[in-house]
Amino acid sequence: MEHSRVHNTNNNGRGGQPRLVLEVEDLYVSFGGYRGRTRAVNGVSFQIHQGEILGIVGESGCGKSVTALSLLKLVPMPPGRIDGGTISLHTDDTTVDVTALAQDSREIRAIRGRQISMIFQEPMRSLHPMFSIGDQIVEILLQHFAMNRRQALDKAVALLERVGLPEPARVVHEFPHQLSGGMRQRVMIAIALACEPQLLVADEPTTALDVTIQAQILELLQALQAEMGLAVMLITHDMGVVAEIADRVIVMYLGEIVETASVDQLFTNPQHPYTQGLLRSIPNWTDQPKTPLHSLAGAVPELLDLPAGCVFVERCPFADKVPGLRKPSLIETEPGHFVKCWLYTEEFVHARP
Amino acid sequence: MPDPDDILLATEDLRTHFAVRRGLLRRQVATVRAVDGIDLSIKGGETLGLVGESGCGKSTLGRTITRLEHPTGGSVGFRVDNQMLDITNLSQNHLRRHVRRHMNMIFQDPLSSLNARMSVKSVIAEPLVLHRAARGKELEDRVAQLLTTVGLQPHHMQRFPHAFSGGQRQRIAIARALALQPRFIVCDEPVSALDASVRAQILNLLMQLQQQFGLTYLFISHDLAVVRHVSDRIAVMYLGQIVERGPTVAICQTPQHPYTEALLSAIPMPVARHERRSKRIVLTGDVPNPASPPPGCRFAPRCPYRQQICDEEIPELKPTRQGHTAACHFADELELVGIGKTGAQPTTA
Amino acid sequence: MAHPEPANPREEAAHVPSGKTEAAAYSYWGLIWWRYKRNRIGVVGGIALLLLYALVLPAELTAPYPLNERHTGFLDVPPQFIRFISPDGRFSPRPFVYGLKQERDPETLRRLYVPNEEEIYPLRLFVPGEESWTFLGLTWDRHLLGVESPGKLFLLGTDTQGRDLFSQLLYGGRISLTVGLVGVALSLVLGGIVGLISGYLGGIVDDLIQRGIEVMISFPSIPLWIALSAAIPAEWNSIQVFFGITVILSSIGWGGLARVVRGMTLSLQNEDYVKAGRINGATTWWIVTRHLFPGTLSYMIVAATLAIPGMILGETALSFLGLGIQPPMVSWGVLLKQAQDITVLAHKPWLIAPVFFLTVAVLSFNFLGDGLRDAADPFSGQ
Repeated sequence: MEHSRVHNTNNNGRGGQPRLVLEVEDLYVSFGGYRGRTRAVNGVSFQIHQGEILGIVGESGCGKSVTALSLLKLVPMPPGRIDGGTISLHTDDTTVDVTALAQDSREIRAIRGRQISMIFQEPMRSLHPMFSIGDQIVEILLQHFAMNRRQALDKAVALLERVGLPEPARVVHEFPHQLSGGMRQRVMIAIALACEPQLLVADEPTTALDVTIQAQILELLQALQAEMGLAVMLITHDMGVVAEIADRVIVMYLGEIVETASVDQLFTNPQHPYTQGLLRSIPNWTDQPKTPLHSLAGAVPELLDLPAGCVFVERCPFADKVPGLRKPSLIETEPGHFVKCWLYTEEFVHARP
Repeated sequence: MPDPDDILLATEDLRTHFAVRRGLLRRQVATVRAVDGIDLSIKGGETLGLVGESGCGKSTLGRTITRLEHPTGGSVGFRVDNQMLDITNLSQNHLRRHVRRHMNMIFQDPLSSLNARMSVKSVIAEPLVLHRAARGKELEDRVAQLLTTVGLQPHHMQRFPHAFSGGQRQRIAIARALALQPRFIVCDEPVSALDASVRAQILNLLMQLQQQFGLTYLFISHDLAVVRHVSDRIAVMYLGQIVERGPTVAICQTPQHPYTEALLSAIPMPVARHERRSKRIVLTGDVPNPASPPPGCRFAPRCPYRQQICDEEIPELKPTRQGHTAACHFADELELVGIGKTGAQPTTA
Repeated sequence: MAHPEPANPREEAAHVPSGKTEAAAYSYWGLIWWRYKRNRIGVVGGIALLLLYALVLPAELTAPYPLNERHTGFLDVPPQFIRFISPDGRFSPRPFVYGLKQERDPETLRRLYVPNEEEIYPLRLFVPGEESWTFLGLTWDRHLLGVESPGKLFLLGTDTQGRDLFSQLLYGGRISLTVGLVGVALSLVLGGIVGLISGYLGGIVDDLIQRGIEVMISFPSIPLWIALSAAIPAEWNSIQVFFGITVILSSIGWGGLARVVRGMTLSLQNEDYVKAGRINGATTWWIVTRHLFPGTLSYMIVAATLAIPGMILGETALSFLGLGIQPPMVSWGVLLKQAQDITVLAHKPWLIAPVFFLTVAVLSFNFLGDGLRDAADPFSGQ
């Protein structure tokens, strides 16, 4: 409801900061295919702290989902392959590099659900159609905690209540197909939170839902996050969703981070021409209807023929002023605001509009 | 150019129900009232935006108007050669000969709406061939011209749909819809399957084509922001019925039905926190099953302003103070909040 | 419509995949072919089948000896080896075979054939046969591979009646492999039409057809085939028997194909392009012929390819039981009849050779079918 959680935002990097939960450094992921290897994620680095909602936005093919799946080693391998980088998960006493763990090792399975859990766009695909909701939660609880079935079932009911399902004692005995889309997503959240993970990865959690249901789920995620001090990584294509609940935002394009900033910085002062174009192309509530919208030229290119320099060069309105063949690096333009664009270097500052 | 006051299409108490059949003997166990008593009219050259959540019947309404579905009751009138023609019960044969060329449709997913086995040329030529509108060299010229119209190049006609990006595929689908120079096009979620950066291109193209050819659109979408941008008037659907309708800006700024208000309030806004609305209305519960709608007002079970009468009496769709039409017992009493009046920051009622 | 301007010059540069990625340039069928080529085992199956058909179809040319020619004095000859090293240890660039010498096993007194190292018959291409043959209007007297008289070339040995097994195998293969093709073609036509009707019309017609097919499929096939082939009139000539057998085999196969086609038709009908066709004034005939039929065709081909092995095995089984192809026609099943007895097999193991060819053919069809199936939906997980 309110947006007063500013106390746990924006203090990344400077004094008295919340605990670091996850650190991704220079991650490269590619997929083999008929037509050669596609580089899905290209040198992505970011951090997530306790109690923070990190939004990752981008269009199809930008590598946001692959990044998320890599955190849990859920990228199918082959054809997928982690080509480089580290994913460090910091727990209370140890640090684990997820990339170094074997695909289905005991270690990674101990992390899944217990340390990092994940919810997906289509909850029906993640729920087993033949087991009741209760059975599915109980199974996970028994796997990670020393408790008996009775206790686990009680805890399942409590969890369902916490995610706002009406009549949890009844729902616990129902099957996924008996629930609506919004209720299923709530069940998924309950399952994801069952083992009190440090980090919740939500991959397009509301894309398949109607706006009124989306509002419910976003509100729930926000409330739970504040209450449990959870770190949340929210992956979405919808700028509105990010603005609504994220603290910090990463904008991805073709496997690279092009801009990262706090949510207020990003929406008041977007800097990368891609972010600017994307935000301006969204219909605004104050424009006159039936006037032309600002639009980005072209379409997202295929991952197979990536431009050699800046990933956005083919669609960038300033491309003719800057050497497109050289790859820019991420530059800090104001505290906590990084952008990967030549326009913000000393050399090309004159080319800025 | 059509006279803008001409009604091009009008429905009266239009109903489309589906039988739910179960079991070996296929007994009918329930009726889904997907479209349940719709009155609307569309003037020549305007865009009517039809907005609602999944399962509210908006796509079924679009398909019923184009007679892909046979209506259960009510009527659809469509102006052909300056005469209103009741097309509700025309045979498919008759429709083909006299009506089809004047109305067309654009679908949500261009990957599904373009046959992957056909070249772009045969896709766009299909309506022209079917109506014997052109052949040979003339046909090829028409296809080339249509491709140019939608921002593609004539040599693209040799290619196959899979060689194009999502936005380009939608352009091909639009070219096909324009082939017979129809007056009326139903756009069923035409930008929902597209990437955000391409969406604006297609919306601009649709608006520009409307001006260029005097087209009339029924624009169906779940995305109120998009609908607001392209429409002259908006109709909001809930559970098979229209709950509110009126001029675009008025509906968004001063909604008169609680559902419209909630819908507007639920839209996540891509703006910084300090520009944000201060209060959000989050509806509880889910949309009821359209096979057994609530007895009174269909929105009553989720309505934050519900009174006793709401559960008992079905509200009529009637004109309100603000000059639109709403189906709410308290349309004139409630002070509902919209978006866009003073920046993006309306005050709370 | 006036002469339209490009919608927006900036957008017009909209990135069209330049064909840098190969797939972009292909048509639908081109794309299927392109995907198929990438499936190694599928290609192996395809090539194996091409070779097999190239070998058996012109059997008159490729077989060293005519059908049913008996070589008196050469009964139950074991396979001859093709040699490259002459008796004096020198390498001979032209392969040759030794002549055959008859001996008796001193213990069992069975007749034995051993190579006679004094007679050397070099292998030759296009050797003249004793009689000229006619195939597809072409008359000639040559055989692809052979040796000069009086030498004999029995690559896979001979049977009890002195017929060259390799030649018989090629002639038999022609029957066995065409039974599969013709049978499947029949089922394809029948199954395709019934499936399209059933899927497109739906309702009661669909229900009736589906129940009918279910009843038909639930008959045990072998007894049904036996019953049907027993009904083939004795006075039919061999061509008639051949077609009779094909019809019997396809009588069962079409049901499965019809269901595949019906399922495809049902799912394609929900595609928006079919709705778009109706919006654009397409008739039922147009939708079926332009959208539904081409849409199901690739799947029909796959289903058919995978159905051929069943037909071939069915023919073999019938003929093996003596109910299928009748001598003087030969098929692999007919040839295998000679290998019914375990003692025969112990003494003349080469008579089992048709099984090897049969296995190669069946496996190749399965490989090809699998390869085509993966390629048939070129838009699934590129």
